[in-house]
Amino acid sequence: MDNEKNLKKALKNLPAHQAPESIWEKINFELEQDEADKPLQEALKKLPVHKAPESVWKGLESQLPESESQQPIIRRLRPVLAIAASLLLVVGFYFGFRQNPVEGTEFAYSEEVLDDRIQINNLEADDEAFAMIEEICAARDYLCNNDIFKSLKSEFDELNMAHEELSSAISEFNTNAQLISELTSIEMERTEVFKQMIALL
Amino acid sequence: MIKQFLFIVFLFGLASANAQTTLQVVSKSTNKEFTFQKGQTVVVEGEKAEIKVETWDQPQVVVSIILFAKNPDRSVAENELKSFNFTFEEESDRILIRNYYAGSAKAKSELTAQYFVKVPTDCPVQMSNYFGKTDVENLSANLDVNSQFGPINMYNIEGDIGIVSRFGDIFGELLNGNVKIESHRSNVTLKGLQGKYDIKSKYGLIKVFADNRLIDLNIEAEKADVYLFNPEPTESGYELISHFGEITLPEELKINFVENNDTKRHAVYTPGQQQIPGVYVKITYGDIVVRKNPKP
Repeated sequence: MDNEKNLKKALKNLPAHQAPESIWEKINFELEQDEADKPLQEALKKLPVHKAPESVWKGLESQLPESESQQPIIRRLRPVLAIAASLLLVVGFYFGFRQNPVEGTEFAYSEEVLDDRIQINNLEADDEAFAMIEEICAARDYLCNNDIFKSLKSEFDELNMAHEELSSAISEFNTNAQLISELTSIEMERTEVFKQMIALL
Repeated sequence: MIKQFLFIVFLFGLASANAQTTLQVVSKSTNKEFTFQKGQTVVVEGEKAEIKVETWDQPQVVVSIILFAKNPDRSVAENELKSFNFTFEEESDRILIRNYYAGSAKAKSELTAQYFVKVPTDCPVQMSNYFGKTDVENLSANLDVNSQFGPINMYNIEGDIGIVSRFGDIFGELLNGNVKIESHRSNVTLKGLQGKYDIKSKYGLIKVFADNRLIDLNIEAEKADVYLFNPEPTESGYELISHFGEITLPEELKINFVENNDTKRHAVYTPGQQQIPGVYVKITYGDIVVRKNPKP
């Protein structure tokens, strides 16, 4: 009686653990790797399904040492056990392939703090001022129609294109300081060229 | 009073901690090994990639790639990582390794790649990289790099080297061979040079630290400044031409100016003995500076 009490007490004192959310997310993500699993799933679909003839079960049954009490339970559970075994096989195959897929791909999770200093939103571009050049040249093309201005304009256009190209490659959550440094350098160069063009107008 | 003060400090700390954005980083990685066959070139095509190539004394090419997706929302990072992939192709003349983003729209996550490639010392390497960083070390075979918006670092390379860079600085140390560099809006720094160099540059700063192991240096540049550092500047032969720029020389280099006016300066110097190494620099809208620097 004391043993039973002690056992109950010990069971009550056992700590309860809940799996962290990230574990479920990870499992969910790995299950969602449809692309990588397509060949496997296709192959699984193509596997032939065979039903064992009744004689096989009867043969097995006759070889089993059976007791009166167990026989009906086993018989009732047989379809369930068969499904469970099949599922285990499929799950085993699935996770076997997941852990070591064709390319040996492994997934990992971590966190990092975003560095606000290297975000593109923090850079101020003088696009409005730059657009002024186009307006002036459109209104008074004679001002812009000389070799020195054309050369500067060509340089300015090239820098604008590079600025656009690089800006579109930098993500909203940039982690590459070198890209921001390059963008800043382009920005400074085109500002310099812009000043030279303005001086000619 | 002290308690109140500490509480306020704590609140400030909490507020600043909350202001930070935490990125959920999801990555996938793989390793791949190839047996290198003579005649094959390792071709690496990276995008937003940090590529590092090193050599080893084994006949295999070993590649490790990690692709990262970073976003405050983990599910966004996970989904976009599905479209951010790598491929390997092996053919008789090349081993191709590349990463690409196949998403239909621009990714919301920060997608980056890291390559670590080990090749046999005599394995030619060809690389292209956009918005990334390229490092190559200890190679005794041909090297070709085409990079945009990212730096190229080379150390201890022997062979034919071809570098094309746009908006990305080039740094090379202990290079030996036939080296061709085309740079556009890129600074070029070269140290400990042997062999022959052809450098074409537009907009940028070129700094060459040379000694008498250099055989030939040809630089043609536009809107660029060229600095030549040499512990024994008088032991080299020079032909220096600057259109609309200045030529500055160390005191001991008694150079002969063929032309010296505001629009063109043309200076020639032939040392007493053999004319090796030879330095030829021709620039438009830029300065040429030769300086004596201490022996390394």
